[in-house]
Order: sequence, then structure tokens, then C-alpha cells
Amino acid sequence: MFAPDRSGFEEYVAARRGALLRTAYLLTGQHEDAEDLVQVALVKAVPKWRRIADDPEPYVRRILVNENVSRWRSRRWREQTVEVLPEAPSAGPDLDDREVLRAALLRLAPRQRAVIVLRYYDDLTERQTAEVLGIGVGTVKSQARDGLARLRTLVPGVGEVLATVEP
Amino acid sequence: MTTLRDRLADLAEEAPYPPDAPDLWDRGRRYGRRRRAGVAAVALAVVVAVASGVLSLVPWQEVPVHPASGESGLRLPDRVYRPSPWTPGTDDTGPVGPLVAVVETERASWTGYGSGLAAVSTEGEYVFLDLDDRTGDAVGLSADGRWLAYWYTDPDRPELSDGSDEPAAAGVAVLDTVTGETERRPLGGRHGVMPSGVAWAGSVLWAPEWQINDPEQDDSDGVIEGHSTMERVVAWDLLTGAQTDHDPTSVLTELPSATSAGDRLLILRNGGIHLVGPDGRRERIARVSGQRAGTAALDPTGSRLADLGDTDPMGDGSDDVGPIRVGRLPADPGGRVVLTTIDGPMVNELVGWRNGREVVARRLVSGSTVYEAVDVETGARSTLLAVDPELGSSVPQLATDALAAPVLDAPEPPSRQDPRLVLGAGLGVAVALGALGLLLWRRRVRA
Repeated sequence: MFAPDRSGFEEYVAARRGALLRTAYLLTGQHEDAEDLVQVALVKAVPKWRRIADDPEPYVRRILVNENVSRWRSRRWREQTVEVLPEAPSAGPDLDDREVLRAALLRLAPRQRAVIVLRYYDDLTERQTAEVLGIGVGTVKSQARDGLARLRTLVPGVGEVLATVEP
Repeated sequence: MTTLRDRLADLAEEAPYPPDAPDLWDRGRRYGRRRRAGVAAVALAVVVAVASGVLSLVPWQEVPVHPASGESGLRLPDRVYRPSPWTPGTDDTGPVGPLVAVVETERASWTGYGSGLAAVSTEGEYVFLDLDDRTGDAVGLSADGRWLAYWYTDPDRPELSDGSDEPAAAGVAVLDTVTGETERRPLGGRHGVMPSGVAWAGSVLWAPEWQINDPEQDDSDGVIEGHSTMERVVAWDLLTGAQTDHDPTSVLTELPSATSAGDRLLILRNGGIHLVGPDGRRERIARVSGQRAGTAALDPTGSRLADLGDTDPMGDGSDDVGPIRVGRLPADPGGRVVLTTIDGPMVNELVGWRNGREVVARRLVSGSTVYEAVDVETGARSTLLAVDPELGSSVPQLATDALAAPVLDAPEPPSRQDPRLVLGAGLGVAVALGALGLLLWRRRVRA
């Protein structure tokens, strides 16, 4: 619970901004986009702060996800499809693994990606995920199932990893 | 074994370190203000759009009167309706002539109700004539419906008065109902002219100049109504523009009961039947005896005369009704017309001849005015035109050429809502929608 004023908002930002950036990075795959996305979500939360100060996280997450989907839709008409992602893998086995997963996430549809991130990174339940995304629980289940299946095909050797996940 | 969550958390470690952003709160407040302003603008736009939509649907904005055509043939409507007081005026529709009829009826404006002169077009459509400088009730519609004569006043001349509430006339005006143009002829002296009946004969307008004398003062210095004197009778030819002034002491003193006979006036006076041309030349065509209850009319061939008999020969000839009488003119101008009464109910007015065998008469049937064609040979009657009882005592003035025209199945004029009520309702709906939108918006914000 935070104070319903500027001090409470700034306290929340200081406490949760890092976590929000990590979620945003998984959603966008880009540093600058992630920073921008978090800033926009926090700015948009200010007018509602007095009413959400008790539990701001669901509202901010909802803005984060919806804003990312909106941006993806608007960018679809401006960007050209390329074979190679702009941020090429660096070196080293860990970096290669990260890059492969990052690239695979970006190949998912944004709402499908959001379901994967919210369910398996932020550890939200299916119902919480459905509330954040404004979709039904059944849709969350089907999006998670399809997203995981797609990841299995995009990430080499991830089959064993994903075997630990119950979609 | 590494879980998907571990892989995602590992990838999330690449996320940037959060930079300081101390102005987030201020940016958020500015964003909130912009958003509220945007919502208010959209709500206002919706309200305006809804109000505009409602207003665009109201019937009073429709002006379905067909444009004028100088070549339109006259047709006699089988019914003269009382048009909606909100019927548009010629300022909105443009000229709609030639006209079949004009009738005085109630006219509404944004500030209240008054009287207006409604015109009936050859299509049976209605429009109010916007005669802004008109004074008095007397108007005259030419036989072909092309010209409408009326008395006009001048608001800049307060001395135009006979002491009554209604301003005196500054002269006589003629509206061309086809072109919409108006010509004016100043008449009278300092105090103007008292409006009175005019007559048409072809393209010539006959207008009496009842010049108003200086108002008299009573003993208590109050002004009493001034007397007027008939100074002259003006014959104004609208085709040539020529104006001829005539001595008012001649047969023209009977101008109020004159009817047209081609391009001449038919006037009965002192037992003589006279035709008067625009140059004032008078021709006696026969003699007639006795009194009559109204005007007389010559048939299209000029061989028969019809009039209304006087049911009170000892009276003053001002009876409301009389029997239709018809007589053949003698070959000798000194001969006497023998008038024969046509069987049937008495009528209020002999309007004219429809053809060489039928006259048109106006009478009251069960309280409603009808115009009937009466066969002068057999006495057979048929209703030509019925007047809407809602017009009350208003009697349409017909273009006399229309009496001989084919009968038109006249369409009923559209009913029109009071635009003040429609506007009020529209604004009410818009405000209600705006309030509903605001309520929903506030609920959404609180959610």
C-alpha cells in the first residue's frame, strides 16, 4: 500500500521500477523501448494514482501490456520484415542462449508474448493474467499453450526446458 | 533442469538499469489534464453532432416548394388547406408564381404568432409571401396569378398615419410572383393613403387613392382618426409601366364592386352596365334595374351577365347572400337586361364565369366554404373547391383565370413542428446524452 499522493507514487516507482523494466524488456526485447514503455505506463498511472495507490501493480502492468500491443500494431505498418534481427548475438554460450530466447519471444504475437511473460516470469495465475490483459481465462490457456509450442520450435533444445512447464 | 522461468529471468537480467526520472509525477499530471481536455472536446463534439443531426431532421427546415416557372399553366386546386403556421416564406423558397390563390392565415415566427398571406402555387403547394412592408388587409391577385398588388408603408415615415394603430400606406406595390421582384408606386400626401380594395383588368391595376387628411384634434387634445378623401384612381399598366390618373367622381367610385372583363373593368352604376378601359373611356353596354347583393360578371363571350339578386330590395344591398341571376345582354346598348333567377340555394359571392355556361359561386355549406360550378341553363351544381374549415372566416382570393382551369387533386400541405420545441427537444436530448456520457465516463474513471 502506498500513499495516495506524490510521495507514495515516487515510493512505488523507486520500489518497482526495476521489476517493471525487466518485464518490459521481455515484452519489447529492446532496451530503449523497455525504458520508454515503463515511463509511459507510470505517467499514465499518475492521473489514477489516488484510486490505485492501494494496489497499483495490476493497473500499471495492464498499461504496460496494452501500450506494448498498441505500439506493435502501429509499427506493423511502418516496419519491414527482415530475416536477421537488428541486435545480433554477441559471443559466449549464455549470451547465445539469451539471444535465442529473446529472438524467439519477439517472434510471438505481442499478446501471446505477454501471456508467456506474465505467466512464467511474473508468476501470475491464469486469472490474474486474464485480468491484466482483459481477456478470458480460456484465452490465456490457449495463448499459453500456443506460445509454448511456438517457443519449442524456435528455441533449440528448449523442449526439455519447457517440459517442466504445465501450460 | 533449468525452467522457463529461469530462462526468462536470465534474459530479464539484460534489462537496463532504471535511470532517475524525477519528473514522472509532473508529466503524469500534465497527461491527465490533456486527457480530460480531450475527453471534454470529444463529448462536446458528440453533443454538437447529435444536436446538428436532430436539427437537420426537423421538417421546418425542409423547403419542398417547387421553383417558379413563368410558363406554368394554372390549375384549380380542389381544396384550399390551412397551411402550417411554420410553412416557409418566399425569402426561403424564392418566388413560386404564378399563384392560384392567396389566403390570409396564421403565421408563426420565433417570437410569436401573427397573420400572414399564404400563397397557393399551381402545384397546390403553400408558401407564405414575405411582404415585409405590407400594411392593411387589401390585396389583389391578377387574373393570371402573375401579379399581386398590396399596399406598402414606410417605417421611416412615422407621419404615415390616420391616428389608428395600423400605419397608413405610402403607396401601392405589385409583386411579380414569378420573378419575385416588387415595383412600388408612391401615393398620397404627408399622411399617406388608406388601404382599400384594388381591381385588376388584364395587366392594368386599378388602385383608389384615399388620401389621409391631417388628423383632427378633439377637445382634450387627443388625436382622433383622420378622414380620407378619394383624390384619384390610378390605372397602372404593369406591362408598359404607364400610369393614368382618373377623376374619382366618375363610375370609378364603384371600383370596390368592379370586376374584370378582358382588359376593361365591368362597373354597374345608376342602372347602367359600363365597361371602362385603362384610358378612362367608358362604354355603356346595357341597362339594368333593381339592386344586387354583390358583384356582377360578364361571361367569356361578353353576351351574358350574371349577378346576385338582392333579397332585401328595400335595404342597402349589403345582404350576405343572394340568388344567382343571369341575363342576356341586348344588342342595343340602350336596351335592358332581363335577369332570371337560377333555381337553387343562395350564395355568398358570384366569383366569375368558369366557361360560357357555368358560373362559379361561393357559399357556406354546413359552416364550410365551398366554391361551386353552377350550370346557368339547368341549375346543376358541382363542388369545384372546398375550403378547409380551419381557415375560419378567411376567404381565399382566387386568380380568376383559374376558374376556367382544370381541377387539381390538391395535396395536403405537410405538417411542420414548432422549431422552438424541436430545438428545445434536440438540445434536451443532447444535454441528456452529454450528461449520460459524463456519468459513464466518471464511473469508468472510478472503476
